[in-house]
Amino acid sequence: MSDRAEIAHLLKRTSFNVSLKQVEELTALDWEQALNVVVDKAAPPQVIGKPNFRNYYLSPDDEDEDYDKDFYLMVEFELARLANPIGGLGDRMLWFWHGLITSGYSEVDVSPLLYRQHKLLAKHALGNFREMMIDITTDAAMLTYLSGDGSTGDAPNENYAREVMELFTLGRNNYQQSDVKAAAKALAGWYLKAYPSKSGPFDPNRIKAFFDPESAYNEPVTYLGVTAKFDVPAIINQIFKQDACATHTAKKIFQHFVHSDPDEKTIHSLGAVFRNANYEIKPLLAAIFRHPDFLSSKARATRIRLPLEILLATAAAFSMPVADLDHYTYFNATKHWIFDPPNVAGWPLDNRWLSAPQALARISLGLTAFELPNRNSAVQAISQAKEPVLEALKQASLYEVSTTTLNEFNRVASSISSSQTRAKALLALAIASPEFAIS
Amino acid sequence: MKTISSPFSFNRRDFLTINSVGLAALLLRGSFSTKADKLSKGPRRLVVLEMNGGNDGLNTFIPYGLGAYYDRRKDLAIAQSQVLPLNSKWGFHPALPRLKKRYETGQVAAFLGVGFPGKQELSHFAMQDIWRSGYLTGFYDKVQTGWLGRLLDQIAEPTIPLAGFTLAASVSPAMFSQADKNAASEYIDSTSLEIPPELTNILRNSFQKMAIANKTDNPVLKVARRGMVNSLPIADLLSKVGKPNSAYSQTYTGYALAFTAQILAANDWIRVVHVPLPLDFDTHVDQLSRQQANLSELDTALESFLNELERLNLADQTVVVTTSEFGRRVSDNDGDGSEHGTDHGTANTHFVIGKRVKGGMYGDSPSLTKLDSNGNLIITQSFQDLLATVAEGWMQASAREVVPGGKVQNIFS
Repeated sequence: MSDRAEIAHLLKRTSFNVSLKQVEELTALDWEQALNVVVDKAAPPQVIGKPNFRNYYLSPDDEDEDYDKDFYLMVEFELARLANPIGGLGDRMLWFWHGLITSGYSEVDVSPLLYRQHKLLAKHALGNFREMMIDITTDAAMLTYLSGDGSTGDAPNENYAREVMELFTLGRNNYQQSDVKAAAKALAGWYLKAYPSKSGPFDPNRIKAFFDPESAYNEPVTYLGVTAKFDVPAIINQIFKQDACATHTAKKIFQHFVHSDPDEKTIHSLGAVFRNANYEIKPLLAAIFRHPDFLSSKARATRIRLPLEILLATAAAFSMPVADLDHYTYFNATKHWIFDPPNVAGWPLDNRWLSAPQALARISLGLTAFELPNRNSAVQAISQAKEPVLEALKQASLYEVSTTTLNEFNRVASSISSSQTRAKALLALAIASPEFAIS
Repeated sequence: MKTISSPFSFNRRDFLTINSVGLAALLLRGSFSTKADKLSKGPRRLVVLEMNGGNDGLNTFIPYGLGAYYDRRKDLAIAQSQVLPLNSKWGFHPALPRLKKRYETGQVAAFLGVGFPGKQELSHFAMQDIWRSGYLTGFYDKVQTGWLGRLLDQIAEPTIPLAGFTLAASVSPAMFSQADKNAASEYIDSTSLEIPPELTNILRNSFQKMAIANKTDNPVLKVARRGMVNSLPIADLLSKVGKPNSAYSQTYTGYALAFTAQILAANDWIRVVHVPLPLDFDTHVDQLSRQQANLSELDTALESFLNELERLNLADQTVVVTTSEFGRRVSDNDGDGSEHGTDHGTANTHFVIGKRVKGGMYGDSPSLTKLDSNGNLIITQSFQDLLATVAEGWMQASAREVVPGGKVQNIFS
């Protein structure tokens, strides 16, 4: 038997929602067995099929309204996929990678290309980090987003060369400005072919990345201490030879799943695990979730939730399809559109997500509980329960709440006589509670 | 350009606890200005436009009478025939006819050679940090307040829950303050509180109660609660704000300024509106066409905004100031073909616009021949002077506390 609270904590960090049923099932196991089920045996994200893209190319002179339609279709498709069945560790990792190795609609008009990158990240999400980086360097969406497409040896573009080190792998101060210039040269010569010349139906699968030796740099460069002619795999391999690669990435993953402030010893040892596993992601995750910090008070109820996570948890609390929630308004208000990070830094996990505008957006989202029909199963469950407050907390997967929040639940419950209205008010309150913004 | 925002964290010593009676009082319409104001009705307001990316000031307020301008800029210079001339030496970018007209009526002060007086770092991240903090050392984990936040801490009415508004999804670091009377929203309809009327009091009461700190809260829960304190006041303010004027809100900049006008018109709460302009000024490539598009959108929107302020009887009380993390390199970056653009620079020209502004040029124009080791202009006045001037000269705060080190210029009548 495991401790229920610890199991709930583990499930909160390794999925997009936690049902009481899951808690019961895992509590019956011992802790190591539970980790085995949830972490070691986590399935890769299942990204099957695709949104019903229009596959209509718009030349730069055309209005881009129809490009928006494809983008929204893709967002809805992914939200539905994450909600049912509720995404587990594979999907949590997929969206971690999206926030680290970024690309977005702000620069990549053609959503099928973003979707292609999404499948690439899904393929590697619980696989191998080095292979992921090699593949994504010549991914069509990435070549567009960070200006690799059309970067020539004569005028190499430094955008990807800088961000691949600063943000995606090594972190600041672990490379020189000369390395950025060198990588830009070595990565020059790639371009995307088969864009249509005018508006009309097209097959986005035809848009592919090609290497043109004529426009490449073709001379040796000195990169991270080594002078040679580098191709894409060689550049990535050279990055991965740096100690910082494993420690920087291990730290980011730790911060995403455990807490924001790991000590040097922890980062160092997790980096070693990652390096020794040849950058296989699962062994690192196995070590992270077994680290003593995971169950420490530093990690309990301290993980700030991102709007994507809050949206999915709200749909689960309301026992409703996520498509029926107004994600459009919510993502606009929180500036957290999936597939469209505000900039290349993604969605940093910091206090901005707890600020007043974010709180207001969450309260507003929660108030849509009043639009639920009386026959909704969450409303029914709460209105028919002997203890509506406890039932509402269970529905919202709020297994530990402060006395302040509990007092308000009790106050609201006793102020409303209609059982259905009471149920909806309690659901709204659950989403509004500060605890709902934290995992 | 990819901007990386500063980490968002703030500490508040006190926070407002609102009981339901107090809240009801705050919801009453009406003016809260108590300071006797010699000028027409209502308190003074400041609108800060942030031109992120680094606008090219040299092609905005153009020393076209100098040969060196054409020598240095070559293909990037604005042709003499296109410049909108003020006199034989200076003129405006062709996309700014309306701003030029205002300048000629004496409502625009042009601050020349404005920039960071220290070692030039030429990084968006570092320089935005420094401008927003108002300190030469930037935020750098030690400082938790921005210059506009410190301004509001001084002048905001204690009984009003909100005093600053950022026209974006989150509060700008420039607005971080002790009292945190901050609102933020990018759209007028981004959030509304639709509560069944019979439950309004109960639920609002609960939302407020959940915002009150509890001794047992862990640090993250503490921050989550604090975030809820301003959430209802923001919703209440937005419910009073009228729809942005459709006559000019089709462009993103027009929308932002039309929204700003409505925020100022709704009541006297908001004293400072911070508007990060939805335009990318980081013109590494295609500078001529991109700056033309940017300045054109700004000129039209700004003129409509200023006219609307007049109609709303707010023009006497409102001043607009531009900011930008840096200007741009004097010479073009040697792109081949028509891709001419500029790298990051230093000194810039910034504008202060208002009916009480004593129009004209302030400060010395930087030399186009004696440049620094990066080929950049050497600044002639500190950005702190620009900020101090509007903070004290217009908003009547103490510049020494808001922007220590900044010299207040006498530009208001």
